[in-house]
Formats: sequence, structure tokens, C-alpha cells
Amino acid sequence: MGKSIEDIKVMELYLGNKIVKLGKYFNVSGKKEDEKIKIVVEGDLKNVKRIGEKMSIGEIIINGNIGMHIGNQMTGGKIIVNGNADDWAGAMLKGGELEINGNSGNYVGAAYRGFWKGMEDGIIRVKGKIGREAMLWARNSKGANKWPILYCGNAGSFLGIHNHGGTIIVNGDADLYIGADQAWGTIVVKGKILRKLPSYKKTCEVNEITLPNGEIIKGEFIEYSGDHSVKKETNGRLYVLA
Amino acid sequence: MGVPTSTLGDYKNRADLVIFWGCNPVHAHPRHLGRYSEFVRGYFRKDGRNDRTVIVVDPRNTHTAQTADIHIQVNPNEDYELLNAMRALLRGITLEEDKIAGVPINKIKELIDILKKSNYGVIFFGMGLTQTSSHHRNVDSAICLTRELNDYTKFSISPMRGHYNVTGANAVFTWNTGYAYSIDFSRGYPRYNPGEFSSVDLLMRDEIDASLIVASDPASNFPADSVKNLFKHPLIVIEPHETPTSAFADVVFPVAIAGIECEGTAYRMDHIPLRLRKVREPPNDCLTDAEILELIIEKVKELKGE
Repeated sequence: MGKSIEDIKVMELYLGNKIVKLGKYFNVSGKKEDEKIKIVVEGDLKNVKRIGEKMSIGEIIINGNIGMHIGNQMTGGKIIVNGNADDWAGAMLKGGELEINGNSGNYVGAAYRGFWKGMEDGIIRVKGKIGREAMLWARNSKGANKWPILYCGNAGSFLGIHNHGGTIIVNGDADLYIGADQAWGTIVVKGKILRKLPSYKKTCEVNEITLPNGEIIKGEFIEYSGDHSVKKETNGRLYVLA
Repeated sequence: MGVPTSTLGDYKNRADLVIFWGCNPVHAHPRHLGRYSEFVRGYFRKDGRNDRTVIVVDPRNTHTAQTADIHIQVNPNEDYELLNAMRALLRGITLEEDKIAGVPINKIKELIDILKKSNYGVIFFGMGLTQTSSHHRNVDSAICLTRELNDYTKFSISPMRGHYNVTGANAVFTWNTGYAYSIDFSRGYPRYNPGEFSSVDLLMRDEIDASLIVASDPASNFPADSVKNLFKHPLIVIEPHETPTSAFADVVFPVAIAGIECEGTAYRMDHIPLRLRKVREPPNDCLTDAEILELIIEKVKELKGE
């Protein structure tokens, strides 16, 4: 904000244990318009980490692949990736929107190792498939009206592990151990799952699901409650296409 | 941290229920059964083996399973489901399936009963839990099970660490940096992230340009692709033995062996530090690892002008 092109060119980047200038690796151009901030990044950045870390406002568009930790811990604004993302995309998101129009690696919207509170608010949309352990330790807050949501194509195993109120919508199929150790929260799979966990119990069949944010999904679903290995009575739900 | 664990002496003197989950100590830890866990007489376990119930969970009928009272033959890679079902049954949930991970539900119910009725139980887990498809999540679930079993009786969990003094490496890293492994110092302060800074992942993504291996042998333990990347760059090995790694190294520092040619401290698998004595002189005035590393640090500081 308020930076000239020359100021941006001398911004510092980490290359291993060295510090380099941004202008050495990127051609910077742009113009000042109104108060909105919009950054467009071009090129294959699959080894560039932590773009949009702790971002609060504005918009970043990335045309190409992107490395680890894209938009981690961001609190507002929007990031669009027109390519694939690596691991920890949107890790511990606290607000804002992350859109990935390709595949994404493991730990999408997950808590970093050792944290008991992962994604707290915001939306992640992944068109393609995601890796393992997405939405690890996601946590909602009814009082603060915070509802972390993840939309994705296909999902890997351990989707929504240790979920504490996150909402996950899988448009395709999901792998094993969906919603393992989920205390509460909603997981909707609009395709098949390989096998449900033994601690999930079938409750009924529904033809309409209302998500905590008010969105309604229509279709024939089997409703499971769980994970019962965490709590005997739980309002954690898993919906799988009948 | 936060692991409900104890020491081997405690297990020897108190444990009346021993579970070996995905490990085969008859072959991998031959002195373990005789000294701490199965055939040993303890203060409260005067009758040795007869005072203990031994359960083995393993897909194979190993030699350890053949010494056990109960052998749970779980399907390969399905330990997570079995642990999950056990935790649900422990909470008094009736399950829909009649067979979980290849084990009949009645057998799991019996197992839960035995677990709850024991006075002091311990789970020893090995690579069958840590190196199968669910990796650390298996251990996560096993720790949760142990914690929940403590509502009924005393229960502990303990990893069967493999190589000599791996626990020592973890202990030293932890008191120096706060993290046990996967530590990155490139920013001048320690950062921890398994999957990003762990050695196999760094090698797989080919992010290194040189490596220093101290007393370990990645060439025979790491995946082939990562070892190829390891050999592409300068490789320095500090190691008393000839190993596949040192065979391809650019520089090898032969060192004195701790506990034989120099004194030192090693950590047992239950985090107990043991002082090792020197019994003979090292050949050709060989230096110890600590001396070599200190000399390297001095030289690096000199080159960096610190």
C-alpha cells in the first residue's frame, strides 16, 4: 500500500538462507487506480512459498502453479490461483476467500502441526482434487458467526480429521477415513466414499441438507452421525450420496 | 509432549497387560522381552510371564505373536479402523459392522474387556503403526485410546525406537529448539514443519545443495528417489562404519565409537539418559563426533566472518 514500483522492486525475498531483492526475479509493472489493491502474478511459481501469508485486504491473482502455504493465516481479501497449489493451501485461514482452479496438495485449510485450532473462518474453493488431511482441526464459532467452509472436487483420506465445526462439501468422490475424530461439523460427499469409518452410524436418509451458512443442497443422501469414538452423543454429520 | 508414557522399569515392575502393536521384538529388540516386558520378574509381577497377559496386533504370525496369549490378526494398513472401532466400543457404542479390519467384532469386544479389567496396561508400537498408510494418524488414535483407557485403569503407551540413540537426537533437538525433528534454521531461528523441512521431503523436492550426515545411513533407509538426489550434491559423512551412504560420500570423517572408544551419553527408548564409558583407545588418534563438529563450526564461523 502506497508503494511505488521502485519500492516493490527492492522488497526482500528469502532464497534459502540468503535474502534477495524481488526485482531480480520478477518484472514489476503497474499503475495506481483507486483504493483497491490487485496483484497479478504470472509464471510457474511451484517453488515459491508463502504468497499471501497473513493477507488482510485486496486481491491476488496467480496465473500458473504455486508452491506451499498459499494464503496461509489470511484474514481477508481474495486469492485466485489459475493452476495447481502445493501443500498447506489456506492453512489456518481466519477469513477471506481462496480459490484454486486446479488441484491442491495435502493439508488444505489445515492446522499446522501442534496447533489445536485450524481454519476459523473464510472459504476455500478447489476445482480439482485435494490431498490428505484437509481441514485438520477446523473450528467454528457460533457466537462470532464464523463458519469455515471448504468446497472441493475429489478428496483424499482423512478429510476433516479432528473437525470442530468446519463445513466441507466434496463435489466428487472421497477416499478413506472421512471425518475421523470429528467432534462436530458437517461433511457432504456428492459422490462415493471408499469405506466409512466403523464409528460412524447411519441415522436416516434425507433429500435436502441445510448447511450452517444457510445454503441448501438437494439430492438423495444417507446421513451418518459421528465420529462416535470422540463423543457418545454427537451432532457431527456425514452425508454421502445414496 | 502430552504422551501418556512411562519408563521401562515401570512396565517391568507393574504392567500386567502388554500389547505389542505392529512390532516384532523377538527379532527387532531381542533383549526387550527378557529384560522389561514379557519374561522378566518384576517387583509386583513376581511370577514373570505368568503374571502378564500378552497381546500382539500384527497382520503376520510373527515369532512375537507366537509367544502371545492373544494374537489379533488385523488386515494390513487397516490399523486405524481397528483403533477407531476400539475407541467407539470403549464409549459403549454398538457398531453396525460384524467384522472390522478383518477382526470379528466379538473378538474386539473381548479385547476391550481385557483392557478395561487389567491393573496396568502398556501399548508398545512399532513400524507396523508408524510406517503403514495412515502413518502419524495411527499413533494419534493410539494415544487417544490410551488416554481414554485411563478412565478405567492405568495405561501407558511407548514407541519401540529402532536405531541406537534416535531418542537422544530427539531429546537434544527438543531442549535446544523446542522441536524434536524437521527443524529449519535458514531464517536464523528454528522453524518446525514435518512434510516441509523433513529430510525425505527436502530430498524428494531436491531443495538441498549439500548435506552433512552424522552417524546415520539414509542410503539404505530412505526412498530410492530421495537417495538419488542426495548423491547429486556434495555429501559429507561423519561415521565410524562403512555404510552405503559413506561409500558414495565426497568426504568421510571416521570417528571414535561412543561407549567403546570414547565416553558419552545415549538415550534409551524411554528417554532415560545412560552414561557410556570408554573401554579402549580409538585407532590412529581418531577424534570424536563432538570434536569434529566443533572444529567444523569454528571454521564456518571464520569463513562467514563472525
